Amino acid sequence: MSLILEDVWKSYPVRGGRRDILRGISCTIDRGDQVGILGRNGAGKSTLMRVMAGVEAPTRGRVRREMSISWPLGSGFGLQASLTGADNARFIARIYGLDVAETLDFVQDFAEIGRYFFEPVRTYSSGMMSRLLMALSFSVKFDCYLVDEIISAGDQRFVARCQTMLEERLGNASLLMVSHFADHIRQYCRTAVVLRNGLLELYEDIDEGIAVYQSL
Amino acid sequence: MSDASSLPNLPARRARRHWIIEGAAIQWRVISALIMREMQTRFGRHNLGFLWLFLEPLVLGTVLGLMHSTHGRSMPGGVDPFLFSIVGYVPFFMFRSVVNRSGTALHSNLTLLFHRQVTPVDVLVSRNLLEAAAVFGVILLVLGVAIWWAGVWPADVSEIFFAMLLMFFLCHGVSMILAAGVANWEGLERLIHPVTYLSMPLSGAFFALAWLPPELREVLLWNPLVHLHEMIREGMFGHAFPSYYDVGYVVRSILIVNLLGLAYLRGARRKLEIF
Repeated sequence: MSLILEDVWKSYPVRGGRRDILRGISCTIDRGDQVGILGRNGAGKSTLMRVMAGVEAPTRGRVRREMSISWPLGSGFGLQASLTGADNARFIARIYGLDVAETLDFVQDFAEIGRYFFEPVRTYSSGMMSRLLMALSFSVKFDCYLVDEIISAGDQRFVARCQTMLEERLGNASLLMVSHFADHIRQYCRTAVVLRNGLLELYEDIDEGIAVYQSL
Repeated sequence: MSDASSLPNLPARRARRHWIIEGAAIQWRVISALIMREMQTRFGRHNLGFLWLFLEPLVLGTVLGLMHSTHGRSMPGGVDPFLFSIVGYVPFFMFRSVVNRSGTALHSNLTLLFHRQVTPVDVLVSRNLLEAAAVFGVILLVLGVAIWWAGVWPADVSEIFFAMLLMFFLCHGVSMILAAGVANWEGLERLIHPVTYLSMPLSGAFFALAWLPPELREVLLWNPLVHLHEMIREGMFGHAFPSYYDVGYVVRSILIVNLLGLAYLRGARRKLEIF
């Protein structure tokens, strides 16, 4: 059960040609890995997540998904802002083949956003948004979660509940997390990678990775 | 700090079946979920809700029909002018609304494409099915009223519905091509509305080909939409006047636009920039 990237390239058209964002990334994420992804703004962290999740195809190379991967969990991704949290939960339940009533109960209980669950998502604060998104993605029981900055918006109690969920209830699910906050990376992750010049540098020692990132 | 016991229970997941059944089941689940979502965002949960879907073409068709009938012109073949307009306009409404909405279809659902199983084709299928369901409902209503009130019995109901079905597939193919076109070149979206508006007189919705000189008739018959409107009129009024259509030509057009649309839309997936 792994997520394997083999020589993945991704480029986008820009004025006067194409720009390579990812330049031949190869890596393997195994079940239970908890990896923090560090990099400066525009380094390609979110692009990497979209390619891993299969939202976008790589320009060159291959992505092998041997475990189920969540959609990239970032503010508003995969949600319909004009619908309520409950409507979005029903939508997710339907497209992922879950029991609708049980999903509603779970999401409502886990997100703990009270009556806002029945208000349009566009009225949510960033904290409520991250609670809803994490609850929705947990309800699907993925093997690997791609989190793009959103856990950072939660409070301590929410962070603890997410950790318990990942480690105990989901049987050691993998986590790939993008964050600019060293504390959050330390709290959730065991290893760190730095995305620089379109390539990944792996640091087994998380403090070393954070030090490299901070010196960028 | 650990409060695992207070965590809610995870929802159950349906058991997986053979991959062919599972694939079809996923497709159906996605499309039906998108239809529900589309109804919620378009019509809300208050007021008349999704009744608007039916009322819009019905009201427009009725107003046009009344305008024509008060005009007092007698129709060749002795058909009722009110019925003639409404039978022409309501099917055209399906074409217009499906095609006009195709330009914005992908952009208004872009964030849902973050889910791997949701594809641009699913988005268009669900939108177009919803639109078609409304027009089918209106047609049924019109036929019902015609029978009960005007005492006009449609010559061949099955022909009307067959033509409407072909119309749906034709619109669907065109909408896929346009949606992919807009993903490649956004300026196209601004052209869709004026072009469908200006093409109204060429669609064959408001006149019968039998009234026209043969040369003009031949030119108009290049448009598959004209064939379909002729079929619908024949289904309604029978042989009150001659109808000109070729089902084979329509089916070939449908195959071409749908295959082009699917291929083009597949290529357009890469062009969509998600944030």
